[in-house]
Amino acid sequence: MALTADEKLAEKVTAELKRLNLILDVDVQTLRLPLAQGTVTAETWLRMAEKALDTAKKKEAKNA
Amino acid sequence: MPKRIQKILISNFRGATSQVDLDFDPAKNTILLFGENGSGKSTITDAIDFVCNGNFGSIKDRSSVRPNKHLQSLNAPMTSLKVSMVFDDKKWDATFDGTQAKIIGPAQRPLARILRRSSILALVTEEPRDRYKSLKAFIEVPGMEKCESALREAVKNTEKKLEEATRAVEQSERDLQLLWEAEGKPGKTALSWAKSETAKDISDLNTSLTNITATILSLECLSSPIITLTEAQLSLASAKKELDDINKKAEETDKKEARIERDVPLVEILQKTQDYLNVHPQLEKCLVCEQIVPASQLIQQLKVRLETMKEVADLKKDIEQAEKSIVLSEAKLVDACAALKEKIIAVLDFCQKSSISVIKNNGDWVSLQSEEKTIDSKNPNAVKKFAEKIKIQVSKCADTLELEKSSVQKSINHMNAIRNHVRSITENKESLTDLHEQAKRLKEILKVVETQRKFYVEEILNSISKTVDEIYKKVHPDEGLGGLSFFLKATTQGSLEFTGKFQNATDIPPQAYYSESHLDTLGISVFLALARYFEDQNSIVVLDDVITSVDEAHTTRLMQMFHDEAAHFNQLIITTHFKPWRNRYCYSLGPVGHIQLIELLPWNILRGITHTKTKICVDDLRAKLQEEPLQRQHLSSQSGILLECILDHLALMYGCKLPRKPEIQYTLGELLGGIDSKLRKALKTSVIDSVLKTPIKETALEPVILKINEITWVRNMVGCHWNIAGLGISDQDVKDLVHATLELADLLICPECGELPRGKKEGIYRKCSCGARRLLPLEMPV
Repeated sequence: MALTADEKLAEKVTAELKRLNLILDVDVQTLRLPLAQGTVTAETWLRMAEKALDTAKKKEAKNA
Repeated sequence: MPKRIQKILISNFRGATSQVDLDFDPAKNTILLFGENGSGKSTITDAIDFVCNGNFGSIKDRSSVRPNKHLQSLNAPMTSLKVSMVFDDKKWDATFDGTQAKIIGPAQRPLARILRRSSILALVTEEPRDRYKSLKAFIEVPGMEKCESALREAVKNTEKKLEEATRAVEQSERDLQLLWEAEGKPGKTALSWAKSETAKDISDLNTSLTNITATILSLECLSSPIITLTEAQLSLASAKKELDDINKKAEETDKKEARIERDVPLVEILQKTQDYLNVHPQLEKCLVCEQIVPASQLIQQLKVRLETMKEVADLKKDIEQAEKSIVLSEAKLVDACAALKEKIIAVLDFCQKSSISVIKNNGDWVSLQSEEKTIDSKNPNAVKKFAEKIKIQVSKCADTLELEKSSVQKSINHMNAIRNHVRSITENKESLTDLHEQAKRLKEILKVVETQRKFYVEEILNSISKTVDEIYKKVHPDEGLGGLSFFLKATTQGSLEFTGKFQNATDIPPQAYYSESHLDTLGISVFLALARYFEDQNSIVVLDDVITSVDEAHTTRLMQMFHDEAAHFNQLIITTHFKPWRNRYCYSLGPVGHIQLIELLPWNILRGITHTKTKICVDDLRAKLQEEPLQRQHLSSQSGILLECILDHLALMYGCKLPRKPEIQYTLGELLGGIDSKLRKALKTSVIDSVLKTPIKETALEPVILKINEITWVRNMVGCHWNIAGLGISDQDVKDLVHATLELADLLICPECGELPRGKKEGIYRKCSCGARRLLPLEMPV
């Protein structure tokens, strides 16, 4: 089935976020659908950023 | 075969006061609905919008128009509104529930991409934001835009938190600085001093505060029992006074205590007798003296006596009550006295044993304890007086203790303030780092989302820019316009900019230099380019009265552009009120064989929207030739008009020499004369084999032109003027004129597309739109 404009763009956005390591611990496939449907809230973005920071900190601590 | 609308049925929808039944020819991909203003073109477009897209159509943007009132036809109930459509052999029915369209039918409805005149204006002349809105149906990504807004909100919230935390740290640092300065700036910095201060143990201060508070409370414990004792004394005095007052009242009414004592039993006896007689009203004599007296009389007498004696009884009761009250008050006074004494002993004991210097130094508690023993516990006044003496002594200590308490409390508060500031600085500094990192990350994410969205939209716009230019130049070739480019403003969401070329200037806003008709073409070009970009097997395109008025040359080019573009769509439905457009098809000056022409008749409320098939001149002439009796005048006249049209077309193509006139109007004779012998001999037509793509047969036009030359007089004599000689012309002469006209038309008009060969030069010949009809020569022979 052909992808909608939202789905196409969501795919590009998630791929780019992953490439730049801006989202960690989040499956891009899982994120794509809510992005296309417009259901990612400000709270969800905050949690994603927090989680990414937390993971980055833990990784840093482990390496140290 | 591409999917197309085959049928539209409209009932009680806007102008459709009677049911409109429109059949579209599925073999033709273009439908031209011609109608004068107010004939129902927009109603048909809106009905398509309603059943395909669930939209309210052109009334959506009109002020003071409400769909729940104005979508249905005038005076028709909302429930009777219905639009049905057959598309690709599937049917959909749309009704209206007052708020939205209810569409019943298979899941995949066709999508109608509709361009109205108002949208063209919005697209080319409105602000960038409104321009974006007008194209939103094509380029919107609502889900992603919603998430982007949420992300922007997340960035804003994080920055707000960051700002708050920064402010809190700054405030705490300022306050700490003040405290530090007030202390004389001990240590290196305010924070290092504060940290050392917070390390100090303040449990001694807390214990001291607890002790002082407890002591103050203990010393204050005499106040309450003194008040209780005073109240008991007042209560006893009040009870005694009340008894005195009753006695005085008894004396005044000459009812002595003795008499009261004596009469009370009698009252009781009389009361009981009255009760007995009330139960035995039949008695006729006195029960004591046995005198004959009826019970009723005795009851009456008893009533009078008892009323007289009631006051005596009441006074007796009051005296008893007052005496009881005195006894009770005396008991309370004894208890209060004992309680106060107990507290006095407790306070003296507490003070005597207390280690607090203020108490120790402020009274001879041992001697007071000795004095206490001499106080008569049953003498309230003595006890109270002694209690007051101790209270005065204690209050001297209490004032000093309050000062001490305040001092200790201040020290504790000071320490707590330092601790709070240090904690606020430490905690907020920690969260500042996290928030800073979080805001940075969110901004990076936002940048990715923004960039990708803009890139996505711009990708579409870039890819259509070339198509827009291509479409635009079909209508306005060699006019120094075009070079169109679309882009989004980097910092704004939902704002579309575009630039174009005007003569030597590039990157100029077209709306600043282009004429209205150029801007119209631009709007149509943008719409068609987008529709082409997003075309799929389930969509159709509708252009609702988008052309207002254009000159001859542009009409031809516009028509050609629409025919070229129609090839990109499943179905192109065009509505217009522009008569020259429709007339050109009637006279085969357009590829009428490829389009379906529907003509809307004038509207009125009773019959609503009505329509008919537009008559093509050649077909009409051929049909009328079969009618009996022969319509001589009509046939002659119509033949003449068709001949003039064909010859004018040839004269224009080959640049034939015609007499110069102030007005460009030529007679049939002049037009025929314009085709000189060289051209006449050179004119040949051929039909192309659709499979082999080679000419099937080549036919010279000279014989038929000569034939026409010989018989054109019939047109003037029968079809144009009244004259006696004309009446004598035979029907056969008229038929010969018509036959010759049709022969020429058939040789020139393409059997496929129904168009006369025209300016499309290819190699050595001219041809029609589809290329099936060729005409020689290419240019005027020299």
